[in-house]
Amino acid sequence: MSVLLNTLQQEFDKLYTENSTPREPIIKKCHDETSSLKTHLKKLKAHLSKQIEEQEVLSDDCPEEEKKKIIRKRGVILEKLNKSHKHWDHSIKKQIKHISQQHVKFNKVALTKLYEFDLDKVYVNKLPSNSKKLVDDAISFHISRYNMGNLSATNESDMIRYLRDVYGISPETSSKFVQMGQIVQDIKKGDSSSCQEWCEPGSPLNFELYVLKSLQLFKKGDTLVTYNHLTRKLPASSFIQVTTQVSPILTQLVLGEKVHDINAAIHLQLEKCISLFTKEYCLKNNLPFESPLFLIVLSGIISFQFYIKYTTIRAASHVDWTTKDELPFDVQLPEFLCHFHPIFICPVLKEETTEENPPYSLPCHHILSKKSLDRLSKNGTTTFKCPYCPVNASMSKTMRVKFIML
Amino acid sequence: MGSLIHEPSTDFHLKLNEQLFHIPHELLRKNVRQVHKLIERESSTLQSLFSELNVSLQANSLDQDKLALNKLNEIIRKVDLFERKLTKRVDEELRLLERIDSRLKFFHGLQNAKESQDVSKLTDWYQKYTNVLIADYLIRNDQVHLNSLQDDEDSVTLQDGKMWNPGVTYLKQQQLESLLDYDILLAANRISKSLTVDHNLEPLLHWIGENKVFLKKNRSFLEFEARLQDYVELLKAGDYKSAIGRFQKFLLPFVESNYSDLKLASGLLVFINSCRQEESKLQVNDSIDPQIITNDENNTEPNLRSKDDIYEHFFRKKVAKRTSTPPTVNKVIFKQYNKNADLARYTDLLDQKRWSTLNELFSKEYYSMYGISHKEPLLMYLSLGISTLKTKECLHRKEFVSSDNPKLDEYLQKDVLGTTCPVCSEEFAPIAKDLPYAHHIQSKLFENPVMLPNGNIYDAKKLKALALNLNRSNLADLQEFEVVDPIDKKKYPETDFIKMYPT
Ligand SMILES: [Zn+2]
Ligand SMILES: [Zn+2]
Repeated sequence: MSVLLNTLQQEFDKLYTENSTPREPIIKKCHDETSSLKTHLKKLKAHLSKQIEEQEVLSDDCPEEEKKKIIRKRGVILEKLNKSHKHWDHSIKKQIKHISQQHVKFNKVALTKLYEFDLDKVYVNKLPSNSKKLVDDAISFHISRYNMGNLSATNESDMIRYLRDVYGISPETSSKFVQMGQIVQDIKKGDSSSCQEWCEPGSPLNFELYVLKSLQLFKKGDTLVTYNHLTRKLPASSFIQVTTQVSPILTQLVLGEKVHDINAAIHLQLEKCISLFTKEYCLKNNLPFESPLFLIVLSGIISFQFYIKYTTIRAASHVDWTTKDELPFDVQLPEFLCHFHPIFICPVLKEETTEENPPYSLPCHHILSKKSLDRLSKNGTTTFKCPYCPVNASMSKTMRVKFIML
Repeated sequence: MGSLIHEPSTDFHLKLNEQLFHIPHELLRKNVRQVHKLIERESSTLQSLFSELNVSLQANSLDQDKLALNKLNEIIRKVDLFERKLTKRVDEELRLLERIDSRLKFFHGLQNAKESQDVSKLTDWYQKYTNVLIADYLIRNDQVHLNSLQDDEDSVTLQDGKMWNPGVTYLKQQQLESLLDYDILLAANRISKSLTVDHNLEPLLHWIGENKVFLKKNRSFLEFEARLQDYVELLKAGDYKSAIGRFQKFLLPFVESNYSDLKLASGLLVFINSCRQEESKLQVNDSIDPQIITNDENNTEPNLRSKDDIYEHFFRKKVAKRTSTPPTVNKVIFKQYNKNADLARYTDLLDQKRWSTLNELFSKEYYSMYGISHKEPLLMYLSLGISTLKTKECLHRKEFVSSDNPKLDEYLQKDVLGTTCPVCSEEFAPIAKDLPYAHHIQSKLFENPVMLPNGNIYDAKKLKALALNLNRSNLADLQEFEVVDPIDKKKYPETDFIKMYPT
């Protein structure tokens, strides 16, 4: 449940006229009132014209009765004109008041609850002043990685030129992704044959492309072609998936049923293929699957909440802190952002080991940092007991170790 | 609601992005205010037209009836015009509401991904979010081009014509244009670039004119600084007449708040003139009298009653009276100024850096008006993100021992030991150098740590898998139960493995 999102949505909906389809902003009522005033006035204008015409054909010495009739008619027109005008004036003013109030309420009830962070204050550790070029390079890589499939240019040199002219991306960076971009473009256009050619037989991608093609054929409605594709082009070694993904299509085909929301299904499968393909492409070409910029931004977003929590606590306890060497708080990151480097925390000192304070193994194969060894052995002058088991150790029996991530 | 990858809650994200709602809401309010005004004006117009109509229709005569008919026609025309104006406002309202609507949908998307526990959906959402941040960064920083290269649909109409900018193009290619108020950012960039690149004050002055009320409420010095710059630039160009004109018209109104600045500015006129004379023996612009400099440095503010008084005070004598100026006077004054501490202040005033200072001042006012962060959010996330990921091992080159097999070395270095750590990437390593490290309270290692006799500790399974791989690709010739240490490239039997307990 998201409390703020719901409040925001509720208050936002009130800026539209209830139950209107398509939704009309409440302000439209002012317009409608005016339109209806115009219609009334036009009608009354016709009446008045007619009344004037009638007067013109009347001679001066016509019966009093006729003259009274004219006065009565005029009186009715006058009354109706004033009524329309008053009605409009009253109700349009009421409307605009209501609208203004609703806007104020939207702000008061929903928006003000969002005002909490000042981003400029969070940006404490400024990037060094020479970062502009490097950030631009990182963006170049990111755009090459994710935006090639969205370009209207399809030919290699056009794509490279376009990215250089518009985004200033060097051909060296963009050329790494040209083939990938072209294949993605093809898939998006509904033609997955270039991807089919690229991928390895028997790979998961191969199977997903097969499913995509099946769905596309199914949508076209040629039963025989679809059937042939489903049965003859079935990639080997994918029997488990067949039961979950292919069988339902096959059944529906045989029963002559329509797949529920086939377009959405195709779209979903298309996205799946693109994601799988780009992953394999990057792996094969030794490119990072997600751009470094994306991973860093994601980590930044995740750490933001820890940062806020920390500042709040610190502000409440009036303690000054700096973040110059190390962040003062611990951020929990997801698995896929945790294992770029091994991190060893010395169990005695609770400090991360570094080049200056490297890890050492004791004879019992427990591991401590250099600093804690120095402390335990009184700088190598005495033997000591391992803090984690009954084994005795001396400095000479320890060994410097290195954790290496593969 | 728990999170899938330790990401913040939807509500937290909403707070982080309040400007996405704040800006269109401000624009909506502006729109409603306009409608309000329209209605008030129309109501009173119709009020008087209707009372005239009433008078005619109550007169009980054919001629007056005809007059009334004309009046009614006029009323209908007025109402029709008013209706058309309203249509425009309603369309604007709808456009702004749709903007909010698509933003709400965006955050519902986040909420859905969380509720359905779909990590790939969540990652997609963050991809979009990142792309918006990148677009924001590009829109704020990249050149704003006149529309020539791009298709029409990629351009944005600003006050001074059609423009395009890579950030807007990117936003549109990613189909995210409803998630950023790019017109507002682009307009700011346009004004900034005109200051820092073109040294052109026109767009800024125009903006100041449109936002006088806001600036006044904020007690901003932006207008004064801009007018001062205008004056200084005219002096630099040698157009003293216009400079004095602008001084009188635009700077004098600030006499109470910026008295000493004005004094400095008027002194500058003489200073720059005398410098010019020193430089070349050109004829002095005959309208300038070096005596106009004020010499009551230590006096308190004089009693300035009228505009003429003020002018007299700053420019002692009326201009354009003397036709010749003894050059000695200029020299004397210049020499005096050489000794004077004011010299530094004059040169500050003439410095090109003032353009970027002026831009800073403008950006601050501009972004605060819309409640947008002054610095690019992308940079803030990058700074936080780099520190969150930066380990003590980052940015260190691993030391390699070469073997006699270069192919093996290359494979091990690139494919086995090469890190995908974003902080260690080519682009971010130099940026990360001076940023803080992450703080860890728990070890993050790997399964089955085993030590080889050389002290290197590996994941046993991975080391064995590597051996298999090397054998298969003929990069090494290993016995059964034998592995290669990718660092020292030596072979070790698995019996050498020592199980470690890093606690
Ligand atoms: Zn032990
Ligand atoms: Zn690293």
